[in-house]
Parts: sequence; C-alpha cells; structure tokens
Amino acid sequence: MELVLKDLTKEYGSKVALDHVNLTFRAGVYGILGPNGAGKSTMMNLLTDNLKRTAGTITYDGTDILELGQAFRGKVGYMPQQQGMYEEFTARHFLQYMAGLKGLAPREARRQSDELLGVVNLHENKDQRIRSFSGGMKQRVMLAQALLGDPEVLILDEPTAGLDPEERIRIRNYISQIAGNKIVMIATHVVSDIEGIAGEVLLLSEGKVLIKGSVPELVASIRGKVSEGMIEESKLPELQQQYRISNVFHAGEGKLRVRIIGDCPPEGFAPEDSHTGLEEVYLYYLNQSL
Amino acid sequence: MNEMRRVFGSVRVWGGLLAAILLIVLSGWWSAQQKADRRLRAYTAEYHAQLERYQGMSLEEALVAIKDMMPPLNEKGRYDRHVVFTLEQVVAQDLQAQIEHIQSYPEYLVQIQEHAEKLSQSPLFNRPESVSYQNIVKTYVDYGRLGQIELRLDSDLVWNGFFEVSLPDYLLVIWIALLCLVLTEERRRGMHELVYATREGRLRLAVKRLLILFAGAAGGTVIMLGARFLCNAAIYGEMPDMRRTVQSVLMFRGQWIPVRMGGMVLIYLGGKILGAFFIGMIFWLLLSFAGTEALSWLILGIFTAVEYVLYSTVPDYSIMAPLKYVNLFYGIDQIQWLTHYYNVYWWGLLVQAVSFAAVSLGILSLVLGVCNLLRQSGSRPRTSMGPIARLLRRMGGGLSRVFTAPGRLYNEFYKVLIPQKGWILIAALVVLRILTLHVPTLFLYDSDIVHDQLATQYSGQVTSERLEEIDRQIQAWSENLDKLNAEAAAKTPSEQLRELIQSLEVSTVELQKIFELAENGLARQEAGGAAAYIVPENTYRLLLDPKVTRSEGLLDAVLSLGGVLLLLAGIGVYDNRRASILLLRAVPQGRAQWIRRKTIVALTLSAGVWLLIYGWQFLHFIRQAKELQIPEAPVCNLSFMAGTGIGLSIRGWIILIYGLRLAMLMAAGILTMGISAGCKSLPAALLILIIVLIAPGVVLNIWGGRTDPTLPGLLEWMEIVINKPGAAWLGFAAVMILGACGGIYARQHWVRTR
Repeated sequence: MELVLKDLTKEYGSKVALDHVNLTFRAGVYGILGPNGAGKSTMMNLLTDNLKRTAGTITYDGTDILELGQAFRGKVGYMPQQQGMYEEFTARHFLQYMAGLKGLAPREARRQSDELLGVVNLHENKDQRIRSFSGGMKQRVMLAQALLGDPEVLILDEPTAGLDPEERIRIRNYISQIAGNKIVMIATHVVSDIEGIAGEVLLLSEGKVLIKGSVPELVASIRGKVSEGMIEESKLPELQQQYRISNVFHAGEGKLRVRIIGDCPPEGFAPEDSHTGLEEVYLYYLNQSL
Repeated sequence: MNEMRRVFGSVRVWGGLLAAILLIVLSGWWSAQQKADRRLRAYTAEYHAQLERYQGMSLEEALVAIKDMMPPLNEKGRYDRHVVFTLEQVVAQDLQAQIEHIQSYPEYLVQIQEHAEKLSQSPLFNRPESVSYQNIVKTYVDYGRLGQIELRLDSDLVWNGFFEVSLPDYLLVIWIALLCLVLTEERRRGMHELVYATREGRLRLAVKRLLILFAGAAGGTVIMLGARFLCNAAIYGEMPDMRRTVQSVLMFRGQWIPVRMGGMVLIYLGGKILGAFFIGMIFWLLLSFAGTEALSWLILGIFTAVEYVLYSTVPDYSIMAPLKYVNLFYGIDQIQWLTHYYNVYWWGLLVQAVSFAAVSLGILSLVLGVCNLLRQSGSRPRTSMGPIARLLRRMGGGLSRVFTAPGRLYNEFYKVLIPQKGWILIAALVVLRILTLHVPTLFLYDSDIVHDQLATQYSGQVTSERLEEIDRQIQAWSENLDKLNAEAAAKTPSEQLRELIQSLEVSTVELQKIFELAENGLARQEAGGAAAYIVPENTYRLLLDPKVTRSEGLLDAVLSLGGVLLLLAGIGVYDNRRASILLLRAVPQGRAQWIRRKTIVALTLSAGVWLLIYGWQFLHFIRQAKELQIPEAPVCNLSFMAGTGIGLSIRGWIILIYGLRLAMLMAAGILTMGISAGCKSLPAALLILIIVLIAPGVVLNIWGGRTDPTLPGLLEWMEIVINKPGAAWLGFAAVMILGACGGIYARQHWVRTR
C-alpha cells in the first residue's frame, strides 16, 4: 500500500497552489499542517480527483490514480472541509445513501451505518434530521461517512473542527485505532489533533513542503530555538514586532513571562526546551519561510 | 419601517403577489374562455350586439326575438338532446336568463311575501316563539324593503367574472399564509433568541407586525381584487355600470339589501379585507407554535382540513352553525354570503348569516389580535423540541427508513419528492388536472351536423361504386330541390315547404363536399398515395383540429411543462446547495452512475407528468366520446388535415402526437436537469429556464416575422406539434437538441474534473 505524489503541481492561473510536491505515503497516520492557503485542501482535492493537476503524478501501488479511476475511489474515504450534506435526510439515511454510492450492498450499508453512528456517538440521534444537528454533530456524520466501506486511504480535512474536547479525543483515538492498515491523512490547523497520533507530520506553506518527519524528530530539529524570559508588560509590543511569541504568562507586578521562538533570542532570555511541542515547530518553520 | 421593509421586501411576499396576479389574469382569461365556449372575442361581440338590440326593446319583445332565434322545442317543452347550439343561440340563452330574471323579479318578491304570509298562518309554523316563525317574519321584513327598486338590463359579463371565479380567493389565502411565514421567520431560523433579547423585540414588534398584517391583508386584497376586476374589464372590453341596483345582476337575485353595484363592491371588498386579516391572524398565531417550516405547513394543513370538514358537514341550523359560517372557507368564498339568504339561530336570536359572520369576524379579530399580541410578545424562545416537533421527527425517521430500504434510485426520487416538496407539486397537478379536464365544445352549424350524419352514412373506404352511389344521391336531391323550388315559386310557400327546401339544400351542399373530398382522395389513392376514406370527423376535430383544440392544448402544455420545470428545477440545485459535490465525486458511484440515476429520475418524472396531464385527459376524452370511428383511415382523409398529405393512420397519428409530446417533455426534463446542475439557487435556475425556453420563441417571432407572440418557446413548439404538423419537426428537433445539451452539460458539470 503506497501512495506516491511525484512533482505534483497545481496552478490556478498565475498562482501556484502546489509546487512540485514529492511525497510517499504508506500505512500510518500523516498530519498535514499549514496556514490557510498553504495548499492542504488542494492536495486533498487532487488526491480525490476533484481537481485537475497541472503537472506531476499520483500513483497508488504503482498505477496512476486517474487510470485506476473508480477502483481507486473505492479505496478512498474522504471527509471534505465543507459540511455539505442533505440536511433533510436523517443521519442514518444519509449514511446509507453514501454507502450506496460507495457500492455497498443494502444489508452491509445498514450494518456499517449503524455501527459507525455508534462510533461517532450519534446512535441515539440516528433518526433525527441533519438539519437539527449542531456543527459538531454534523462533523461526526461527515467522519462516519468517510469511514464507510473500510477505506484503505482516509483523507480527512479538518476532521475535528467544531467538536468538544471529549468528542475530539474520542475521534482521535478511533482514528489512531483503525490506522494500522490504512493511509490516514489529516489536514488540520489544530496541532494537538495530530501531535499524539501522527506517525509523520508534513508542514506545508505556499504550496511547498517545508519540512516533514515524526513529531520527536521535528521537535528535536528546533532544539535551542525556544527561549523564555521575564519582561516588563510595556515591552511586549516591541518584542512582538521582532520575534514569534508562542506564549505570554502574567507573572504579576507588571511582569510577563514570555516564550519566544527564533534563532537569536534577546538578552535575558534562556533556551527552554522541556515543553517544546509541535505548535512551536509549526511557528518556527512558518516564520522561517516568510 | 424596517420591519415593514423586511416583510414586504421578502421575495416570498412580493414574488407571491406577482405570481398570484399572473394566475388571476390567467384564470380570468381561462374562465372567460370556458364560459364563452372558447370563442371569447366572438362571444363578447355577439353578447354586446344582442344586448344593445334587446335594450332597445321591451322585455317581452326581447324574449320573443330570442325565442325566434332558438331551435324548436320538443313536445316536452325542452330542446332535444342532440341539438347543438350556435354561438348566437348560446349568447341569446344567456341573455334570455337575464331578461327572464328581470321580468319575473316583481313576481318573485310577491311570491316571497305570499309564501311568508301563508306559512305564518299555518298551524305548524305560527308559534311566535318558534325559529321557523321568526325566520318567516324576518324573511318577509327583509325582502319587503325591495319593493321600490328598479332593475335594468345591462351587461353582467364583468360582474360574473369578478364574483364567480374563486381561484383568486384561494390565492389570497395562500399569500396571507406566506406573509405570516415571513412574519414568524426568525422562529424557524434560530433567531428568536436574538430578536427576543432586543429592546423592541417583544410587544412593540408584535404591534408593528399586527399592523403590517392588516396592511398586507388590505393591500393584498385590494390588489388582487383590483387585478381581477381590471382583468375582466379588459377581457370583455367594458367598464361595468356601478349604479345598477345589485338585484339587476342575475347572480344577485337572492340579495336582500337595496344597494347599487358600487356599494356591493365596497361591501365585498370590506368583507374580504376583514376575512383576509382574520385568516392571517389565525395563521400567525398557529405559526408561532412551529419551530420548523415543515411543522408550519403541517399545522396550516391540519387547520385547513378541520375547517373544511366543518364547512362542508355542519348543518345550517345546528348549534355548531357558527363554526360553519365563521370559517376559513366561508371567509374565502364570501360570495355565498351575498347571494344566498340565510338566517342563523344563535342562543335565541335569529340573525342573518352575513351579519352574524361580519360581527363575529369583527369581535373575533379583536380577540385574536389581543391573543396574538400576548403570544407573539410573551412566548419565550424555545430551547427544546416541542411535542409536535418530536412527533414529526419520529415520522421523519420512519419515512426515511421506507425510502432507504428499496435502493439507490429511490434516494434520488426521495430527494425530489420529499425534501424538495415535489409531492406537493404533484398533488397540485392532480387537483389542477381534475379541475381542468375538458372535452372541447364544437360550435356546429346545422350544416356541420348534417355533414357528419352523411359522413357516417357513407363512411368507409372510398370505391368508385361508393362515389357513384353518392353522386346518384346528389342528383336525386338536386332534382327534388328543383321541383320544390318550382313549387315554391308558383305559390306562397308554406313554412313546412320552406324548411324542407332549406334542409334539402344543406344536405345537397354537404354531400357534394363529401363527394369532392372522396373524389380527390380516390385520385390520390390511384396515384399511389394514401388510401381514401370517408370519415365522420367531428370527434377527431375535438381531438386534433388546431382551431378547436388550441386553448385546451395551450392549457395542457402549460400544465405539463410547468409541472416538469417546477418539479425538476431543484434537482441539481439541491445537490449543489446541500451536498458537497466534492464528497459525491470522491466516491465510486458518485459520478457516472449517480448522474445516470438523476437522468432516470428526470425522465421518469417527466413521463409521469405526461401521463398525469395528457394520459388522463385522453382517457377522459375517450370516455366522453365513446369511440373513435375508423381509426385505421389515413389521417389526410380528415378535412382539416387534407393539405398535409400524411399517409399515417389516424390511430398512428394520435400515438405519434402523444409520443412527441412525451419526448418533448422528457427533453424539457433533461434540459431542466442540466440547467439546475449549474445553479445554486432555485430562482436562478427557474430564471435561466424561462430565458432558455422563451428566447427561441422570441427569435422565432422576430426572425420568422410571426404575428402571434402569445406562445413562447417550448410552448410554441408543443403547439406546433399539435396544431401545425408541417412545421413540427423543426420545433421537435430544436427541443431534442436543447434536451441533449442539457444532459451533456449536467454530465460535464458534475462528472468532469476541473
């Protein structure tokens, strides 16, 4: 099971949304981080053949996905960023409808729909119309439909947006649990969603892969770049102009404890790596690319 | 002011009003056509001409003149069943009814008085405390006031059109319902908390809305009734006399108030405004309990059904009678109040139903107004689902199980029929079909009837022997006619002799026409063309003759095309808006197979509409016409198709015509699907559809120099198939191409990667 992106490029007129991206995905969870407009959704849409690529190839086990066509789409579970659903359908009806489009037999469609509604904790709401659902509930329905048919490749665009912490943890754990024999790609802004479960993290910016690696590797790559120090409250605006600040803590008496990210920390700041996380990796590399 | 702008600026409100006006004009025209047996202009001209003539005579003279014009009565004093009236006779009959009404009115009043006196002396009714006695006395007094009024013969056309057509009344109610939906919109859009939390979002807003509802009811009523009045005035080309006493108009024979037509219009208008306001307040109150649009419609539906049951089943003199009279349907159909004399017995008092209803409406409006103010300003935003919503949810779940069980195709039907409310449209089409089922009426002169009788006598394939037989008959009649004419010239002819000569002349001329048609047919047959037949063609004229079927054909085309367009305009819009096309395209059967299913749905529903409109109409026609004679004869044997030279049998021609209509509707369905695929809003899809369908008609009109711009685009082509077979193929091909383009576009839009 290998999904290979080779020199993948997508241009919208003169704007390059994805610029010669080369990536290889094997079974496991991949976290794709990046700011708005970095090219995450474009990559997802190219993988699902919703967009026409400008150049490059995407192969699945050696064959281009365009050649595989329907056969490849049968292996993919896709959760788009937009919550586009038939809101007059009930949750169960919608899942069975999508299962039908995925080619599942009616009995199997019913079984999987009911099972996945339990997984996303919507069993009690299965006969409610989607229109009456909250944003988080809709998100869970979307996730459930992506999981229908036990896909080999799971493409999730912002899967936990709008979920409460408990649901977020629950969904995260479920994804991790089923990821053993699947390629799971999670595009997100929420770093904590992938920090614990992603085997590899890709950082995208302006259509390019800035860096990729496992979370410990990435954290190690910015060792010594995170510093902490105390400043007067009035100095904060000046500091913000010069450095990327990851945290500000009120220490009392007009003093602030500030964590900054950068190669040359200001005077009075000392490296502090004990709490460095993916969020700071993200900020560091993004800052570097600007 | 902002609230007023919001409500009256809503597309639902002003769009609904425009649509209502359009429907009022169409229904007014249609109803006038029906009343005039589809010869509106000729009927109107004839009506005015005869009216002018009779106005110059005394009533007695006018009746004698009409009697002279009518066919003779049989021994039972009726017209024979087979008598077919000419246009002049139809008009004369209508005017005869008016004149007889005016002539007999004084006697009618006397009769009421005598009847009342007689009853009051009867031991059965003469107990002063009994309801019957009070009713007799009251009738006597009420009609006693009418002794001095003067009735005058004048045109009733506009008044009949204005008061008799009830569709505008129902449209007014639907529009009021829309207005109330807009008034309560925030409850269904999750904004109630927001509005309720503002400083002016409670009582003050409720008062403003009550005033807006009244303004809407008054404005809507004036506009719709005004449109109805002007439409009828335009249709009949006259402005009716407002100073005529109301009893001069036949439909107001039972009216007991001495008032002129102008006054009656004002009474009617006032009643309508009050009724609309009252209905609006009921709707507004009911809708305040609904948290969803579906629930709103459910509540309105249940309320309407209950009201209809009360309206149609409660007896006049029961204790429940007020529920019958203060009722939505009496509120809608107020003309019954004004044309029928009813008294209602209520807690020991006998009052006129109309007065009772007016006073009750006034009082109840006040009560409802207060209830509404309390409810609208005091009800807190709902935080959980109410019992009705919960029930609806369960029903929804059950329904969804039914639809998911059978398979994927059903889901596509489900989307059109349930979430997009296609079932309502189909139900409306069924009702409209029932209301408009028709068999066109033929205006036949005596000669037409004779022609058909002779054609029946000599019907069948034409042979030289049959031609000779006809020729011999013509010769015999001609000789006979010569003799009779000579006899008539020799002495003053008797009435009988004159009639005999006239009848023989007509028969000879008509048989001569049959002979010529048959002779030409035989020549064509011998030259290798289609076989020659003599076919009695009156039935076929009702089905296939463009001059006879034009207005019905247009109505059927409007119904079927309108049905297909409205049913399918949302088929793609819904998916574009509700579902992520990206999501659908990412699943294995979300491309080609999905669009195939969509296409099947569009074709099936189009065929369903065809079956509903044309199939039902055809069955109705066949049931009325009993049989189609000699359907195997080539269609060019029908005189109105003689010029076409088409050798196809009549049966084949009928199948072809109906088949072409089916194909065109299917093409329209696919075109609609294609346009809908490219749109994200229903109004946009409908607008583009209208442009696409009308534009070719406009081009045809300009380019082709056509003078009849009444049938735009696709409708024009549907009519061509019916009425102008020679040019049918061009229109048919154009519609097929448009349909194919629609299908290709939908496929490109939904399936191809961009």
